Amino acid sequence: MRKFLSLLAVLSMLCLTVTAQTRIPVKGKVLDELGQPVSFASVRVKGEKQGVSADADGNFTIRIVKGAIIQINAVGYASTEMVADGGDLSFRMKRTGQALSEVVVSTAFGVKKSERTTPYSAQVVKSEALNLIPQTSLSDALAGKVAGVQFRSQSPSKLNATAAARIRGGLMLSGDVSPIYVVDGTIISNDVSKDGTTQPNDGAYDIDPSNVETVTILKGANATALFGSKAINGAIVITTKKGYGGKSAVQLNQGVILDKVTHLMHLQNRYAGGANNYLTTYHYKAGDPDSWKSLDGVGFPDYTDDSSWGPEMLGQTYAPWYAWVPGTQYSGKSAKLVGQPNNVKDFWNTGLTSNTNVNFSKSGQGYSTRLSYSKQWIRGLIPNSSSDRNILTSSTTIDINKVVTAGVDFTYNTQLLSGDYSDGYANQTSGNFGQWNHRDLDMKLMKSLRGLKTPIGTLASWNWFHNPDGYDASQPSSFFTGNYWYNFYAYQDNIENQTRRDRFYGDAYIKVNVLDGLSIKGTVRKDQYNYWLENKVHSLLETSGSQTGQLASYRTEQRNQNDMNYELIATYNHNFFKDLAVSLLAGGNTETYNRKQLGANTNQGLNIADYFDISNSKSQPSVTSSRVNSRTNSVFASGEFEYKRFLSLTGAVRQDWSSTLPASDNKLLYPAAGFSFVPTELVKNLPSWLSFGKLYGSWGRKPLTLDVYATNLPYSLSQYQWNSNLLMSTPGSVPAPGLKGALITSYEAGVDMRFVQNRFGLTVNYYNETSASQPVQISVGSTGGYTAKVINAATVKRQGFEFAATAGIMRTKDFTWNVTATVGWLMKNPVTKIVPGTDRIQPSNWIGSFGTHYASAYQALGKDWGQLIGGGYTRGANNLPEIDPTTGLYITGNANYDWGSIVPKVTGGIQNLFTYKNFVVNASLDYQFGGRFFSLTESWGMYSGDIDYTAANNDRGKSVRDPLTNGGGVHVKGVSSVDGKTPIDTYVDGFTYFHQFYGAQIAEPFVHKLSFVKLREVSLGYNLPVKKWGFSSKIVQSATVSVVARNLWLIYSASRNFDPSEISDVYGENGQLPATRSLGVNLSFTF
Amino acid sequence: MLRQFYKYLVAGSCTVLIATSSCKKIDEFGNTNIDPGKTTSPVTSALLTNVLSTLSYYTWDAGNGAGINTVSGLYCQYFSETQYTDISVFNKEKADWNFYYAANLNSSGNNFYTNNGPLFDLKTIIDQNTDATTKATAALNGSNANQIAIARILKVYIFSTLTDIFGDLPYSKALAGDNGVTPYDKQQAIYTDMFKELTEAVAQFDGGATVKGDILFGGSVASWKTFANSIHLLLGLRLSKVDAATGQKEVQAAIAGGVIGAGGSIQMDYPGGSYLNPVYNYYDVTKRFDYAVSKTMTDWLSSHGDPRIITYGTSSIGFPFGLSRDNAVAFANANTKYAQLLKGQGQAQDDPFIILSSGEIFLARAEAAQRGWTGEDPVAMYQTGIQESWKLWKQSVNDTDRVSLLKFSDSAFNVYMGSPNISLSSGDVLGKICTQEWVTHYPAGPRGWSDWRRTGYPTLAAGTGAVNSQIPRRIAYGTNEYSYNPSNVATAGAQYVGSNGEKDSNYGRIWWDVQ
Repeated sequence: MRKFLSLLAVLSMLCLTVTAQTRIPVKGKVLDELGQPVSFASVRVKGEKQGVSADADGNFTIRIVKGAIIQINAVGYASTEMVADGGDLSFRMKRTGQALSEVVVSTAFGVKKSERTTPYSAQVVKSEALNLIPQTSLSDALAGKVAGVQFRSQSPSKLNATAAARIRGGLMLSGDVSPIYVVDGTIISNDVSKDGTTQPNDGAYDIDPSNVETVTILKGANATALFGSKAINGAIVITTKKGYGGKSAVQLNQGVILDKVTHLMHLQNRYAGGANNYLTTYHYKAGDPDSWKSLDGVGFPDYTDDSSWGPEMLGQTYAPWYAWVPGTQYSGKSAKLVGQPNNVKDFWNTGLTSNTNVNFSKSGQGYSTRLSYSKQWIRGLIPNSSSDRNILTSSTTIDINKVVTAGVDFTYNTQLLSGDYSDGYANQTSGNFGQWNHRDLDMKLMKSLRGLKTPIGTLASWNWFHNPDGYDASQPSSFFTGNYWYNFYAYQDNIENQTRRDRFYGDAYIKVNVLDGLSIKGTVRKDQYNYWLENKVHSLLETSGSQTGQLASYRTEQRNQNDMNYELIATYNHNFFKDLAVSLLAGGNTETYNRKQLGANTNQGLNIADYFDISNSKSQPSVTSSRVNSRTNSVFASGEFEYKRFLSLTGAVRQDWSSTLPASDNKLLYPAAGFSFVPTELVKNLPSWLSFGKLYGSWGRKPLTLDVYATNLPYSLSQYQWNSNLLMSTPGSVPAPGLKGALITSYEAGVDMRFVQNRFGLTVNYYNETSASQPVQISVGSTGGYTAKVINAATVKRQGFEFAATAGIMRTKDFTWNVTATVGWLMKNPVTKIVPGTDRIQPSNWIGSFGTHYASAYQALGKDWGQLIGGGYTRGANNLPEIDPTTGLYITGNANYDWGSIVPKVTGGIQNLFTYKNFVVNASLDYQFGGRFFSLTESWGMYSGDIDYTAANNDRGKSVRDPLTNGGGVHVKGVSSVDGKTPIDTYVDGFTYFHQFYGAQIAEPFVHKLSFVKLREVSLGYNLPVKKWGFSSKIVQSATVSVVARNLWLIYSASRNFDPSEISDVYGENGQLPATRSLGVNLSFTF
Repeated sequence: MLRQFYKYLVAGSCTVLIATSSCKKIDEFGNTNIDPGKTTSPVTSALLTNVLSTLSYYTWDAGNGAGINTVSGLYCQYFSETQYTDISVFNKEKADWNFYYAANLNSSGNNFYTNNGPLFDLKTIIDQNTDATTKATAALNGSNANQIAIARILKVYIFSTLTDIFGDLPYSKALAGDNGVTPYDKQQAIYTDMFKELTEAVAQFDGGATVKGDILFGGSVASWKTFANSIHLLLGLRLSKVDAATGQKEVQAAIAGGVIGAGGSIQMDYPGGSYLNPVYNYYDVTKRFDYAVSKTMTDWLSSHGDPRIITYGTSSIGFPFGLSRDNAVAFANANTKYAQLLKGQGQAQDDPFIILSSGEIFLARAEAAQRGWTGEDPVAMYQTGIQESWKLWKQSVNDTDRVSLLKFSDSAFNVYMGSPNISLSSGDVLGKICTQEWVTHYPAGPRGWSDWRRTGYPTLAAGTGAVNSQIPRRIAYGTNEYSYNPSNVATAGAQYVGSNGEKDSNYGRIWWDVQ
């Protein structure tokens, strides 16, 4: 590395001394009428063949003899020229007709290039499309707007959870790999976490969408080779907003959004809670609390079971759960037993998100700067949850002199997250409502009784440990504790979770224009992430629960990670012989990554109640620490040769040396090459309706390196000693001998066309990618002595088409209507090779709770990536389920039933933009078809009698819960399991029928498609006519007020109980938090 | 001047870049990729302690739901499920054995299910003490031969639990450090090898340095030999139905080698704190109440006037076995003081846990004698076996509980032994011995279930909520095997066919469990 860098340094010094003898350097900027930069204009001294190109921001430096005339040409603008007198130049270009200006594609190291010479799919999403409505997360803002990318969104109740982008299906056997997010050339690490667990795509979380100017989505190895080994699954390249146009501007944006839960599960409202379908009459006995006397003779439902197999709710008198607690207006009083259809809905807060952004920008002779501050404040949908986030972003460039430019870009994000909003099976945060619940609970009353305590000081629960007839005065806690659950609000009141995150990332650079077209840029990039979390479980929860599994505890964790990059790049742009534009880049980079983590938590409870410190642990506290270090050195080069603007060839190559690879073979070399042919630039007399046409093709490779320490077989000590004896275990995972890095190969080809003066456009892209010999940690059969192994084994392929279309459907003076549509079609995504002797493996993060009982995702040989496999019905003749003829119940399910891929085949979206006079309407719709998920919540909702099927009427008009002798029961059809063919047509008692699926391990009724069509974002904006306001128009340049909506309408869903666009886990959901619908207003002013 | 300025600027920035690339060759990273928080050299004493820390799980392993050994205890009706009765109504039961063979990925903490892989740890101990390059280091923790012998004994003990539950297993080709696409050994071959291993291990102990990390016996060679012979005895007896001749030979060899004698019960002494008595851990830390003493057990004990009812559970109210969920919930509500296991919530965190009791061994000898396999006196062995068991369980009675202590007295014992249902002087002598074995193995489910399958004593019936009228005779292979070792598990599973034609059924019979 040192050699290489020294060479560059020497080279640059040489250049400095050789140049500037006969000519002087002149800096210039090419702008349009509005002061926006014009990208890639051609700059030439009049009369000379050679010249330079302005960069994407319109900047150029050219060396001239004083007094020369400089001529500027750019697509879509009239040619212009100016006499150079030695000072800085600023050109204002005039648009000609309807021609479209250059689309700028952002690539590695902040390098921008013209769409004309881009030989791969590179969709660019601009700020306007991104910020239709104020968004807290960039990947949520991108959902439905990019061809071939599935965004797996999450419920907003899970505070600030980021949608996971899955580009073109799966590629790694180990599961999903997030694309990298690159901000102004700095790769933002995805390896961060908000609460101690790493979620996919968390890198995007720290990017403030309101600062994003454009987003370029790059996918295959052909497009991302230069990004290095982190870009395994594509790159989302962000260019932030900058100051421009010689102006100063102040913008103020204020959005307020309200969230309400929607699309809740269909639960029954006919039967009350408990395991018994009757009320038990209470008889007062000596020793029972005095306040219970008045309940003598009153019936009570079974409180102890958290299911809803209770009596039919007919308005009869009964003793509700809270009647047994003295000291309230309800004590000792009976109530009417009625259904509570809205109790789940009533639990949730109305979420409130306030988004404030103020930014200042100014640019002028030799400088440009922008400063932005955003404050996001969220009141969560779950009681007591909130997020307070402050983001400061700044971008500055200074021209130190005619040849030297320096600049700094940075983002600082600090956030405090509070509350317990975890989801997952039987979570106390309330994702359990569909799994384990009593349908007779009045949630508003529950809320008003959130602090209610029993005579022994415990929290009152709707789910008493025992029923009142078993009350034992000598042991009141056997009644006055929660069996499995607390009052939902009381739980939230006694949990304190806080996470403080601080993230800083950015770059500082210095760029020297050594010669005409030759510049050298040195950049330092840093991505620093620190977090600190603290979780407290109050002692009251421990004493108030019997089987709730909650012990008083204190947990704290800190993490500090730092990713430093030093980068030196030389670029050379020159037009040779008038028609050959050459653009070269060469450089090197060195990266150092380290991460330190330290955490501790108490064990087995706290000695002193509510004294939250590690020293107060009942038994020896757990202490965990980890240290992760890695380094990578790289050199790279790329070139682009364009002839007469119609034919271009591009190539790139990069070589990495990585500390994570075996020392004997620690380098990976990977190239990429492509061509682009633009016939509309070549053939002059094309039909006038064809405005632009491009054919392109490319090939490339990119590396798969190894995880840090993957080549080691590390033994670790247990932190707990057994009477001073050390404990050590053989590690569960072993690296295969000869483990090494590998390469992903991508091919891509497509056409890009625009018609009728760019009014309509269509891009069609085909891709074919192979990832062979993947170094992956895979699960292996434990009988070999390891549960996992890191090997070079798997091969995953994928191919498909991506379509993007634009249309200016209406273009009148007052009314315009523009449409953008995308479609991604994943044709094939097969896993063609896995571990020898095995036909499927399961990535460790794909195992669901009760996974082997029901269904979860696997990688199966010869099938598409991510198969949902689990308990299907065992089927006999005519594919009918086999039923035990004596019981009428399904026999044990076929545990190897395969429902197909978890990845939808088709994804896409449609954005509509309407303008009418001063009104602007945006509507963004997206959809996906295919793919499967498994709902654990539905399975337990069935078991617990909470879901509506368990209280329906059968085809004989009687409740499925009624006795068979009265015509009740579930109608069951199938074939006998004895011979596999005799037809069975019978009725089974509802309780037995709905309880059978867990025992028989059948997941089939709970597997659904992921298909949906959703109107995701709508905004109606009005541009206030500030020009007519006279005096105030001098202060306010523009003002917009808009009404915005998110998740407005789930037009179609293949799943009745869940929004398929927000499924919490890769294989399905486990008691996830509900979908929401949001409405809000947004005000935007420019001063 | 300007030119001077940017000259320095460029030179300066280049220097910075060179400096930060840290004066090393581009492809050299030193120790960057060595995890500073780990070691690459295993410590055999620490591996041994780790294995021994799991020892009680091979008899009772509830913690994260029921493990196979708790399921075994349910099938022989030592325990009942109190709320989710899926296992005890005989739904299909299959189980993964990952944590027996290999450690989980994140092996930290002291939970058997999130850690471990005792069999591979034992293999590592043997390898480290065998390999010429490591044996000298390993010998710092005790003589190579002693460490290997202990590891072999423990391997047999753990494998025997597995094979008695599943039948054929990956055994001779297992633990090879490969991908686990391992052929299964016939259970008969496994038994043959286990007998050989135990015999050789006992003979292998040398007079060398005491083994460190032995939290069970403190490195006592004599104790390990007794333990090995006692397992040998129980495994030999297990062949009574299928191959009495071999069984007899092995039982004789085991007894000749020296088995657990009076007062020699083996128990694990828990330090408390981070390593807890498993019953304390279950009731007081995980705070679950899924398991209770079965009414089958309490009924037997109370109808026979057996005082062990005092210490087998927290009360004499047994929980009926095999109820449907609603009936179980109703029973729990109506009987809030049903019997929790052993001392239930009152268990102390540092209470010892029985690994193998002297009563079990004497009763096994009684059965062998009664079968004519040995020349010992079955009546004397029977009497001593019960007496040993009473003495053992009496130790967990509170010193101040005179009434209970009285029930364990010698005079009470004599009355008990004289009662017609207990006395061997008449009736079904073998049946009485075998029934006492079932009573005495408690709470070691695997041994209780094995003996029930082998002898048919006592007579057990399915509960009222049962979805199958028959009691399971094995547990089916887990889903992981079907994922990672599909053809081998399919071959093995095909031998175990239920009456409904299902392969790898809970109702297929393992080798020694012939009709």
